Amino acid sequence: MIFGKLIINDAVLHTHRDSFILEGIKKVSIHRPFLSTGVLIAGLAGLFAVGFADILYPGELVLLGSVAATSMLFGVSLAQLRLISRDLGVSEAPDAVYGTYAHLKRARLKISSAVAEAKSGCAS
Amino acid sequence: MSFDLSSAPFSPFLILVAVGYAVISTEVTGPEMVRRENEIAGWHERCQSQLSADFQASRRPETAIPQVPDLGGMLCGVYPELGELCQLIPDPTAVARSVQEQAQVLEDVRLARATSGLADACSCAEQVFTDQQRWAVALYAASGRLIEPPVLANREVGLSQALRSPFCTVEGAS
Repeated sequence: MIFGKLIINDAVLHTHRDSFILEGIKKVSIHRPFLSTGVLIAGLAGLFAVGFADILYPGELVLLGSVAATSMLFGVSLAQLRLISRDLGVSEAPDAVYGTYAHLKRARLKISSAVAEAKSGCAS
Repeated sequence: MSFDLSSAPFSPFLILVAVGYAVISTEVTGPEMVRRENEIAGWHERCQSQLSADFQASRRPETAIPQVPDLGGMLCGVYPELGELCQLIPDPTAVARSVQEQAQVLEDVRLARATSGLADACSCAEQVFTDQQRWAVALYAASGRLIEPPVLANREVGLSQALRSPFCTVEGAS
């Protein structure tokens, strides 16, 4: 699942906001921006649940477990694809595409191949 | 000059989560966990029985009525034929007995009223204690009991002090 748009068309990559000439893309990277937050929420919920397990109602324990599991899942599976332009550098980072890690990883490989193709096409 | 959070060494969401957890620990989970622990430890029952014993101990003693012989009654007992003459001689302790009975009724009412407010007083003491020790309670809850401030380890002392605070005075206790 990808939030937004990511289309490669005629040596141009279209996102929901911008279009990039593939030749100008220097780096395509994937980050998990919510991993630390998810781990923190899961850790705090787990710490509280374990610490006060004897006086928490079963429903509350289930709720805390669900919160911990959900936040961990979101933290691990949500990812961000960053396109860094050769000309604009890291300042392009805000133009990121969000989605699940697996999908974005596949997209990164496609974009990398397309960039390589575009560059080899220009060179020849 | 713009401030770009994305370049910060940590995620801004981490700060939000930490602040949110601190607020929840202070306002919700801390007081609730301490209340449940007090309940399990039987503090409410001990508090109410202690207060009840204090009230019974503070019961005003009955005023001793001087033993004065009822001359009229004695006379009529011996000489029933004196009839009306006996009625003219009043019982000297009758008024004192009446006053004592009224005082007794008032004292019973005072104690009943005071006893009915015991649960409120104990809950009030608990509330005052958690308000006074807000940060210790928050730290205790946030750490999942890993950190137990001394004031919470000896909470009976703090609760007893809170019970004697002016906020938790039981109506009719004095």
